[in-house]
Amino acid sequence: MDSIATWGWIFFVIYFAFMCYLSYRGERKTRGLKDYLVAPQSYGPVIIALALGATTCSAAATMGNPGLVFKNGWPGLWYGFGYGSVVMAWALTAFKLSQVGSRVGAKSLPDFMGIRFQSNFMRGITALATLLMVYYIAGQFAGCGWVFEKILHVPYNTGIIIAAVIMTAYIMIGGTHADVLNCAIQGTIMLILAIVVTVVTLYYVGGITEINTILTKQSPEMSWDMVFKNPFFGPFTGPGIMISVSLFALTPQLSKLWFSLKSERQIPVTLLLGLIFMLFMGLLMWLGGLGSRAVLPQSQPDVSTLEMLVKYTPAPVVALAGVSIMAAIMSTTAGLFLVVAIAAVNDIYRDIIVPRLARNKPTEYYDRATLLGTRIMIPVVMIVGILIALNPPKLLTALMWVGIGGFVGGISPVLLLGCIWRRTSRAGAIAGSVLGLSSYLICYFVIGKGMGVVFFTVPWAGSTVALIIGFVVTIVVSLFTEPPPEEHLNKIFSS
Amino acid sequence: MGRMALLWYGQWIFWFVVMFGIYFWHKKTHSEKKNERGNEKWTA
Repeated sequence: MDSIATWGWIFFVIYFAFMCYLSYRGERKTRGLKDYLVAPQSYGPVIIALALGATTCSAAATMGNPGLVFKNGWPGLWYGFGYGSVVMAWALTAFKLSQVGSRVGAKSLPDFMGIRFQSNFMRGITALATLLMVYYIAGQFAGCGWVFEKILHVPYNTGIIIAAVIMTAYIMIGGTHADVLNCAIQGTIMLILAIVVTVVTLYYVGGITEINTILTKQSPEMSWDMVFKNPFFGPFTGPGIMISVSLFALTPQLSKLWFSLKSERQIPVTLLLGLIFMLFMGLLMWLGGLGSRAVLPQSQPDVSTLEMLVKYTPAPVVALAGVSIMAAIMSTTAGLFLVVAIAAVNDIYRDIIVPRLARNKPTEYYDRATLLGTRIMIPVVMIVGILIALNPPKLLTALMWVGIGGFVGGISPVLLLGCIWRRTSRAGAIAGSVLGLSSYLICYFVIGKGMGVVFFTVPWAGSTVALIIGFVVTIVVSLFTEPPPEEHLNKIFSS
Repeated sequence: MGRMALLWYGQWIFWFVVMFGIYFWHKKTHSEKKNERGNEKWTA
């Protein structure tokens, strides 16, 4: 075993011990269904900002996105523009999510949509879009398998299974408390990786001007004078990816974290800390991608940053970077396990099916059944994710977008409008989400994959078209249909 | 410095200005509300 693998195992064991301890803490804090699902008003701005950042940034942020910059040069940074605007999407929704979470007791994003629009259909379609996230889980597993294989010298498939079992165990035991606490630690490890990559690039590779000169010599299309590069970062797909990444901030595993923030008054500080975290992740993407392209142009895009660290830093640093990548993956995947399981058991079974059945048992019975069902559903989600991941993808980011795109195109326009515009009606929300979601599926699967139209093989092209349709349809239909009752709106919107 | 570099640096500055704006706006709104509640308390 080489020294990178030895150091990798040392860091992995320390990290694993931390995870076990935090899962135990999470389990001790969990006193019932609501604690398990949302950990209501339990954590301050630092923990929530770290959890938000760590959950947002996954295998894509640590491997795939620096790989995009490596492959495309400066125009690839359109993806990174989304890192800043993610925080704006949080700002637009956080106040409402936090208020509805504390006043009305929303337990998940589908639950929030059900309450805001007084519609079980909206609850159901948001839960179904959440289930699509299983593709995103599969993408994350592929990244985990890679880290185990390259850093810890464990076979790819075995690595996927080890990582999946660890994540399943800590989420099953500690629910949202374990998720948030682990995310905070994972976020801290990711910050260390971002700082290491920044220092290594600027110290060993050179300044920004120097790197740009090398890149321009390799290909003028990668220089800092080039704003666009087709087809992935063209005049439509470039801004499109920025908007899609911003609306990614509204996916259920992130939105539900606002329910766990202690007080609504802490939102602005949390936003600022979240922006600082995303800035560090932006540095990782920018300097990691450009720096590794300058010194290792023959490298594989997704692993170029790590190869740059192998070239310039000693084994413990490379091993720590490997564990940081794993932390980034685990923080996102664990949150996804939880929201997919909650969508299936709490939102679909408990909130939609149970009220339609003859309820001859007390509420506590259904609460206990939901808690048990959610815990059982987590390993089921793990098995489905593993089955998809065992066929490894060529580009991590593309596979993940199958899951994200459906949510970004179908649900996020309605959620955003529902938070900032009182007039958004139930009919507008239903029409916007149905047309948004179906137009994403048509663009990506039928026109892109089926008919082979190059523009729509870019996964975020479909989601950008879908979210434009979603916004327009929701606004137009809302203006021409009955507004929500004033009394209900006052409950949601009064400060 | 190239156009893309300017956009990259500029957008980060922009988001920090926006987030600090939200922070100070929220702080001001809250202290005003707190003062109003304080005045109500004294006049009641």
